[in-house]
Amino acid sequence: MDYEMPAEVLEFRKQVQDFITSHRTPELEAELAEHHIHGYGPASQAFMQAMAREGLAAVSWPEEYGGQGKGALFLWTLAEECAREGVPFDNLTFISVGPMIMRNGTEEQKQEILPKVLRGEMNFALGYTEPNAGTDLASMQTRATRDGDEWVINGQKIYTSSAHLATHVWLAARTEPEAPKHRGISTFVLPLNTPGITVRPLWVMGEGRTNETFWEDVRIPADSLIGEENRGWYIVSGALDLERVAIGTYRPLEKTVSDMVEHIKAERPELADDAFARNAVADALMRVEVARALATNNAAMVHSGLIPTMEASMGKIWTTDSRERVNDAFMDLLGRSGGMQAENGDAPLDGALDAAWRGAPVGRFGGGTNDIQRRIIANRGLGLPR
Amino acid sequence: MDLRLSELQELLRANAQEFFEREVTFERIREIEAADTPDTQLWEQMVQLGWTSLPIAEQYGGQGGTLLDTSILVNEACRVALPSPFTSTLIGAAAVQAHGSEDVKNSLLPRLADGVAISSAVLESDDAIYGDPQTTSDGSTVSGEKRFVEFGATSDVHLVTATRNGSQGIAVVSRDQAGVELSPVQTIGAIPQVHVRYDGAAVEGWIEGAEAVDGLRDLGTALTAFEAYAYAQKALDLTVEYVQLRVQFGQPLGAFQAVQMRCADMATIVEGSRFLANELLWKLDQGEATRRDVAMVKAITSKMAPQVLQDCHMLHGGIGYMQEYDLHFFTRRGKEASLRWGSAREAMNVVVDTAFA
Repeated sequence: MDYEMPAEVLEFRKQVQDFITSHRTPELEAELAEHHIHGYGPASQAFMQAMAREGLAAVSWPEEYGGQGKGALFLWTLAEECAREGVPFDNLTFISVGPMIMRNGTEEQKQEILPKVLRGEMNFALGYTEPNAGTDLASMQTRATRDGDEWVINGQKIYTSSAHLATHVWLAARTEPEAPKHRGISTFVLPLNTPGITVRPLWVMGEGRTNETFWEDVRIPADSLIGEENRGWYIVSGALDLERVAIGTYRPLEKTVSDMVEHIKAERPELADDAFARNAVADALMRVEVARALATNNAAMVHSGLIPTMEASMGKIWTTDSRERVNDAFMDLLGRSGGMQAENGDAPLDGALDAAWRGAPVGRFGGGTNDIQRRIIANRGLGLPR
Repeated sequence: MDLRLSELQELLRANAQEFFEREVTFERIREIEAADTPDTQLWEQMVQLGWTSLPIAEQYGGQGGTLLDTSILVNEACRVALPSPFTSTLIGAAAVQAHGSEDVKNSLLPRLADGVAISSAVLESDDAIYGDPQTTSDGSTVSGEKRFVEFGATSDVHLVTATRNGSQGIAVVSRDQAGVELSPVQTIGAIPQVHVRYDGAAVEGWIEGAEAVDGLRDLGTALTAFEAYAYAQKALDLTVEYVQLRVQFGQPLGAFQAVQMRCADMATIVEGSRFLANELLWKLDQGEATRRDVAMVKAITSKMAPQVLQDCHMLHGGIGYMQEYDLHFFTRRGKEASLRWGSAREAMNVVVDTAFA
């Protein structure tokens, strides 16, 4: 057993921090500040493209696809640092969709798609959820019908986040309506500017926007299909496991807690002697530590060539539940000031508590609700009967 | 970074598991609890297997294993709920090895490797693990009272934290002498314990420095946190097994979502604790653990273990409440581990004080 974070990973962390510092332009800051009003814009897109061009994002990808083959600890470090600093990182493309294309695409598809992803010229929105297929994702109804050399897509997706920014969509659609629901789904990659796709914004309670997308006779070439026809559910499941590792990043929570400690020391020193406040701060620090343990465990497993399933769900549950509870407790400690928003200028923690509390639900339901994660742990991890 | 057991560690684990499962039945545990004293025959067997010499450096007659290596044995002993001075001796041995003078190490470590047992006498009130020792030494003798000394009645040597000429240190004291007066105390974990009055007891060695006292405290706290994890893990394993066997309403309990979700939550915090308890021992092996690191893991495991253990009981229903069933051994030991070497309250105070410092 060796718990040492390799020196090379620590150097890479430094490299990421330097990249963030040098690419944090006034335009990007302004755009991120308005994020909850307008969503990510061109400056965010430029930031992510620069990161891809710099080779940071592909550091863990195999060398044959233009990466450096360095293992999962590096990619995880990148995701953690970006999350901590609140800068955009296209983690779904690099952690979830990219690796699933590597595993399931044809050589031709991989050579076509992956280098573009690495150059920051191609990235993905996820087309999974539908109005009637949320937690029960496998009951999705959007159809992809084969017509000669093309697939024709009709239907509706919802929570298609980034569809207004991304170049492409990673789409799951029903290709065999007569088969059992898990066995009639396939996965596709196609450009979002294909005729027939309409993107409509949905504004969220937390920060930014998501979308609903309408698909009307969208025609794409036959080779847009990734993996075997009708086996898409299993590809989506693998992608979701990887996505949960990404959602379980702990460093934003760590930053909130250390910022709160500094705030108390500087502005509210009487709370350092208040028994309830001390208990809340201790609980928060302990939650961060458990979140760090579960996240590091996941990264180490992927790094060792293992695939976390139960463990990915554990990290996701713990971190997102903690984000809600810790931010809630901290707002309570500060009383009315706890609800002050960033616009005020003098809001405690620059309004981070308000933003994180409003944003807490997406962590707890995104990637599958935490209660569904508990069932994954019970069934797939502990072996309890379905 | 690779969190898997090495091949040698896995071999050690499998051997220990096989030994404990063969030798330590729950009937034997009941006899040990009734006698309120450790089983000397088992101790001899563990010495013969080389386990007491594992953490001792080779130059003192040991095998040069790490804390992390030795914790594999602690884990397996916890998994059969064995009340054994193995952990208290490991704590003492590691402290002597890290902080003792050459004289103290040469006189004590070879004996420890050969099976001499140690108890650590640290507490002077019920819960003041971080206070300055009030017990005093004049160099040749030590006087004062220590409370809740695990295996204090049977260990050959006591490590007694004390103050000498205004500076802290640890007195090495033979138990079997006139100036050492023992009074047994019964606690929830049924680990044999005594309060000890040292009345001019002869000192055979002195380990100088607050650093040594802090080091002893870190080792005791970290290994006890590890034990709290180990008991909770074992109780959870028993519970996951039980809910698959027990049928009610025509299906296994484990098929009910409410039961599944409770098990999932327990597994999550136990998994986090497993990582942290092991990582802490690794940090101690590297000499990198801070007081805050130690207190943090103790706080987490002290909060976690009692909640998990009580939830395991609820899922077992009546059978788990019966003395003739085995779950209660882990429950009581795990709860006691959460109180020993600093309860959650004390550990959390260290965590918060460090943050606000």
